[in-house]
Amino acid sequence: MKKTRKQNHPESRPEGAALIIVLSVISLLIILVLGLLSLTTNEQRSSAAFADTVDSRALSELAVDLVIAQIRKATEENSPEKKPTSKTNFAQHQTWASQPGMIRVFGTEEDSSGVRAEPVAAYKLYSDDRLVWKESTAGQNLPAELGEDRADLSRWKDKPGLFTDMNEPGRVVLDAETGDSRLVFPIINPAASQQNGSGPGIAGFSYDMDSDLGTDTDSLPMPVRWIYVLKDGQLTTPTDSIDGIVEFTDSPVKPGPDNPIVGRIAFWTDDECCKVNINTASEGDYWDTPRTYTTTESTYAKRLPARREYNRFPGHPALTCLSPLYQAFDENLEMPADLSENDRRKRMEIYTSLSPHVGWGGTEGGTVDTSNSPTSPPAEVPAKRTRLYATVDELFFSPDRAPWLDTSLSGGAKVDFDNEDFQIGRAFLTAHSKAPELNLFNKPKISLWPQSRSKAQRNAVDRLIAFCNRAGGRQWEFDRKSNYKSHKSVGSAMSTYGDWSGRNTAMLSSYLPYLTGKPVGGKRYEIPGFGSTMRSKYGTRKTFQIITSSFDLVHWSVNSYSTGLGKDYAAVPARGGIAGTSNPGLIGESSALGFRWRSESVSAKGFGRFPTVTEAAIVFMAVDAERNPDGTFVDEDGNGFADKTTKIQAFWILEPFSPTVGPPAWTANVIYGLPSLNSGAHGIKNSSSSGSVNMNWTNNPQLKANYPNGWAGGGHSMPFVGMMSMFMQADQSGKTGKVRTIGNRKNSKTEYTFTSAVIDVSAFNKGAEADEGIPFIYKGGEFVIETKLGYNGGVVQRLQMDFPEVKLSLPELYIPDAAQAEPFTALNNRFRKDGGSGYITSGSIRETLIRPGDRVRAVLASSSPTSPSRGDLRFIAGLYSVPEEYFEPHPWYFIPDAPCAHGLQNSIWREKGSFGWVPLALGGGGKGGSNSHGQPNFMRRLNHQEVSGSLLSNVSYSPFSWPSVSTGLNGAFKNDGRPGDWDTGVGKIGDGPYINKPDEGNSQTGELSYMGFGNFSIEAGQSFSPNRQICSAVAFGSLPTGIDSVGVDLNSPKPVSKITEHVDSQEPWQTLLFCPNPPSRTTPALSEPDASDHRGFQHPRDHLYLENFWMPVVQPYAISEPAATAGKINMNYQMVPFTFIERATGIHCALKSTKLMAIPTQAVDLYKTNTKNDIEFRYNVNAESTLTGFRHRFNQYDIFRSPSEICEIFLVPEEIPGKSYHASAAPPPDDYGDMVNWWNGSITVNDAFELTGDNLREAPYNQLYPRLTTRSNVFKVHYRVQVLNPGSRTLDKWDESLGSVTAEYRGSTLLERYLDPNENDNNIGSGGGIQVGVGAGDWWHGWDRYYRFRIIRRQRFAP
Amino acid sequence: MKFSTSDRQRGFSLVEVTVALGICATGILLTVAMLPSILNSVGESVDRNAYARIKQSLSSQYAMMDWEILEENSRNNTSDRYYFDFDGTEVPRDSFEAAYAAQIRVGDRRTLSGDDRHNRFIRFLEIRITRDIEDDKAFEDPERYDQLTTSLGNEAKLEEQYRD
Repeated sequence: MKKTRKQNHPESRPEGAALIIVLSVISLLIILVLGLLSLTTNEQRSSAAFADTVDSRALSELAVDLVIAQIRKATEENSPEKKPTSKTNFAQHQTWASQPGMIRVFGTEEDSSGVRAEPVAAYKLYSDDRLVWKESTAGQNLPAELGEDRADLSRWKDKPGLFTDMNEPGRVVLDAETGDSRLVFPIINPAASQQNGSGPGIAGFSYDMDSDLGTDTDSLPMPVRWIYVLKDGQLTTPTDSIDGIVEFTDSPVKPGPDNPIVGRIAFWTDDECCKVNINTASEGDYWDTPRTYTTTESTYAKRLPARREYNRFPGHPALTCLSPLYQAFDENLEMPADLSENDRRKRMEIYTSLSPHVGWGGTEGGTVDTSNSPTSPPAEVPAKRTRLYATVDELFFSPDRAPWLDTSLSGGAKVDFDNEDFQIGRAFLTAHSKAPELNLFNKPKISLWPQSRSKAQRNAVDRLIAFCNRAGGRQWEFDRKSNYKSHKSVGSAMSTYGDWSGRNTAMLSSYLPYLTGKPVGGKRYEIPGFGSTMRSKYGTRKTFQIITSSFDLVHWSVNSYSTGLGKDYAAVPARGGIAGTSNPGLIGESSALGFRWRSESVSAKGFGRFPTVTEAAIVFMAVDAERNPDGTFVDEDGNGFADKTTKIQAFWILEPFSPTVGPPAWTANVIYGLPSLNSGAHGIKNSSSSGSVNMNWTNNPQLKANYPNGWAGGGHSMPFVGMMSMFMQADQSGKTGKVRTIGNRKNSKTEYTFTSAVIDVSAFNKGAEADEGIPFIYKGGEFVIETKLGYNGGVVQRLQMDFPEVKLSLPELYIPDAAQAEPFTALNNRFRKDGGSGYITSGSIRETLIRPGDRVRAVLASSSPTSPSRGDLRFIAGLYSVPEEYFEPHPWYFIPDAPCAHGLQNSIWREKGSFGWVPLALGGGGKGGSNSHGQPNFMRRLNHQEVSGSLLSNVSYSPFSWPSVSTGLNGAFKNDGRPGDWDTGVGKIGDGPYINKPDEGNSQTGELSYMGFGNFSIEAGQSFSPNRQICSAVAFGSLPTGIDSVGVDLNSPKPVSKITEHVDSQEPWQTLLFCPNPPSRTTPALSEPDASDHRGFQHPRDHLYLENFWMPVVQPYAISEPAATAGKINMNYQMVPFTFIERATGIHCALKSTKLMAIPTQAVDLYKTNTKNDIEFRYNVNAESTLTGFRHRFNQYDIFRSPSEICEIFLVPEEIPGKSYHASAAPPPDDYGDMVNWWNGSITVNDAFELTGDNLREAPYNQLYPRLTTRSNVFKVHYRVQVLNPGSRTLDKWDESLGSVTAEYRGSTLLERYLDPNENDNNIGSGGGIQVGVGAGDWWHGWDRYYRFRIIRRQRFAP
Repeated sequence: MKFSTSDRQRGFSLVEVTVALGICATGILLTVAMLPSILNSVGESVDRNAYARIKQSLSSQYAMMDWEILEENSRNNTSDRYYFDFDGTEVPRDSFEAAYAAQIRVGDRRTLSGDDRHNRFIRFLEIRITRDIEDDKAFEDPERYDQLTTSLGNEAKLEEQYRD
């Protein structure tokens, strides 16, 4: 055995053992220390990682903060900094407009267009080397700047560290085994532009294929610049990137050892208003007031939008369609124009099931009649209350709807959303879009929904709208001082000044005048974004006339009554059925006085719904004639007329007219006075002697007329109405009324006071000529008419005419044969009414009021080109005092042989002609009527052509559609000779110079609301829709802009003989222009029109007036809130700097449910006939071609400053599949540039669609404008941030290969700017802190600075 | 087996013990010498985490506050102070967990690239943090506090007119 050393050397000690132990201990210590170090390092790393993560989050917030700061500066510093103290330090307001990626600020300096203002600044909402553009600092204009930014993008792939792709997709592995995966894009999935299976892609989305950019079918880079963050918090952008090394050579802030780079951020901000809001949008179905009598219009009349059928309410956000989007998700959600009605109904129901608030029922998407007769109860849509979508994700991943099968609705069709739909849809959908409702001055808009001043008389809708109208502690609305209750409490609508009080005074005498350019300290606040003022353009008086008539139209005709909504009231004299009101005899039903301006010595007057007088006729009738001994009349020549008239009597007939046409039926409670009439006035004399014969008129006779039009001839929603009521006694109850007597001609209620005494003319001798009859001279003279309110006699209007002296022959007594003997020598016998029913019968009075043998001479509203009004009857209605220059004698006035020189019209008679007899020998076709009251076979009544005229030169209308114009008008021409503005009548009612009364038709009245002429029944809210009554101020589009009123003090009225009004500066047939296609336009569609095309095009354009008003949307929920409305679509869809991407989907969705109407002139015999026809006059909108108008602006890197500019965009028509259009209707143009030619053809020839009224041309804009915006309150910031460690060797630069990215965060933040509705509420009246900015001294304030921001949602991009 | 008395174990020599103690002492000293560094690293890690949270917390608060008041306070050195524990969670000053005190100074208005005027809606925010939570003068000595600088956008209403 081998011994060990110890064994071999038993004495040896264990040397070094201690060292070993010590070393062991040391090793243990080292291990412990290393372990501790390792732990510490790990802790450091993890804490660093956590801190980097937190820092990355902080960097993302920095990106959001930068965007917020940009937005705030762009939107909150647009009012002058200081109150002006002199003209030299007077500063103008500015306005702003947003688009994806940018907010632009506009001043008032005109740009090259001459009608818009230059941008003064642009705030980029994407990371760039220059975040703010101002020409002074950028050294180039904005288009050049944006062009440069766009050009930069082409090199992004070659410049790492300089640019980054905001839309870089993440890859999601679907199956680890197969490696199946898909790309998820943080912003836009390029697949959205492609077809999904066999169906279409998302409408309006496309992008350029560009290899430099790297765009491809599955790649859509959205590169922006990195902004580097330094340790001290400063931001800097690199000068260049070469081979991955990012230099800061020319950057004003450079990194360095003391201030190294700590991170970088990149961001791009989307405008949520460019997306479609899934809470407000639905699948809209266009509905508009019927304007012709065709199958389509009749269907509209029968299928009024029912209560809660929001997706058919004009201008409602629910009208905006989702199908241009959803069509990409499932073929069963496609809504092509040629869809059958059955399929349409099924799919509409599917769409409503997707909406949180739009229910199903009513007309079922416009496919079912809800009212076939006035008495059937119309169907309502049941209330639907589902909570709103909080995110778009909820739409796609609702557990209640997956899989989503509609066997009951769609015959088993299965509709399902999947993840791919979500991926491609979310760039186009939002749950949070909201747009500010401040005007261009950044001040509150005025609500178009008038309120009862008494809060006790407000229904739930009123209260909610009132809430929306409150801001800054004040109401921004019009109201009514009092509602109608009874004949003794008629409400403020029955007073010309009654509503000149309360907030109305502030709105009318202060707010609107300053908004339209009333000077402050000698300077005017010009329209921000455009420059100039309405007052500069139209002058003070015309501007006030526009304001006055706007207020007038709203304050009585909108929200005029409430039933079935929990609180009944009537703003105007009620028709019955309204709790709390009493109106026996329907006195003054649905009528209102024209509101009168009472400031600044201007006598501007609204139209109201009250008669003016457009014609006065004096009728000479024979009362007695020479008789035979047996008492019969001598008729030796056997011509049916007594040979020698011995007694005559004269009476006046007035022709009432109102330009306020359409439902509901109405009757005025009016007193007509003739103050110029007295015993000796309007006398006659024997032509062979010098002495005059007095007619012994009653001195200043008054005649009160209020017998309901419907019981006195009908036609009570038509323009020429009310004449028959003048022959019925006033203040009666019930249909069985009494006709007037003659009596002593003084009782204004029961007697026809406009009658002369019976005058003996037996001394008058036969003339020298064989066929001259017995001549006499009617001396004529001044003739003044006053219209007064029947309740209190207050003067409403004065009209002055001049009847020239004329030589006539004495009226002859027509003697029918014995069987028809009814000589009508007693005037009241001529006021025929049916004995049984008590109605005045048109067929009777037409033949009896003026009899064969009468002599009639009339002075009527002049249609002469030399007259101030050129036949535009709105001038007669719109002036307080109308001087004689507006009238002229009838064309036949001076023709001795013409027995009836008048053009008296009663609209309801239409094809039946008027009264008054002329010899058949005159030709022109006769209107003999029945023979029941006797008529000579050699005479005929005046036909419709002879008493009317034509809105289009040399165009002969159908008897059923004859326009309501003055006799002899041959074309409505403006002062420059170009075609003028007039309205197409409602339903069957003929066209004319109307003011586009808000629609009050209802489903209780049914089709007859529009296809009747006065039928109307009060309903209990079954088709109640505030938006259908008025959805935007485009409703003002038929208000004249050319009425120049001179001041007349009603409290000190001038003598009637001295009535003078401006006659030289009137501009007839010219109304507010809210469309690009007035009939007078010749400038091509893509060129800037000017004043020669229409005064409305003159700078500033009329459409800017729209921006002063809004219509809050409070159904089905508060879509509007104070100063904001959800669901509006931003017209500025261009994405900067990514102009290679077009996302016009929102505009597609808005246009999808819009139709336009164009009536070719050659269809004049068809469009309003007595029997319905199948000709189609409506067109769909070709959205893609229409976008040419948008692109024209965007291609110049310009945007829309105001949504009212939609009124400058032509809507390119597209024929509705399956419909038949008139043979003369030119096919819709392919080229946007041809639109003017399509509409107007040759301006001097009626060869195109001249028969389309101004209101029809503007109607689609009325439904589009309220759904559009140019400013957004909600933005989504997409960001990509990285925490960087540049390494110790590159502290003054960034090297992509050496530096390390220690943390990255990608995601988005949804943020909203909002206005606290209670802002300043507590300061009212305190004298401090009130800066609402509505008075002269306060006007420099804007409301922009009251905005706050809130973060709605942060979402990380973590696919 | 039997051992002779001559096999008895001998103790370590003085030299051995001295050398061993010397080595041991050196090792322990070295280890102890490293502890502060290690502890410091741990402390820094704790601070970094806490600072990150403090920065985030205060930034969120200040985004919604009226900067004009804060600016005035910053000028007068009367800004509010905030106290946090080691986790960076805000606690009352008298809390036994209070480990950090922080004070904010609103910095200058920022001028963003391309603009010729300040943007009053984004500011530098200087956050000073000290562990000397009892000493109010700690924020006056740069040696005694750490300063974090960030940019902050304002989300609250700012009524002031624009002043440069």
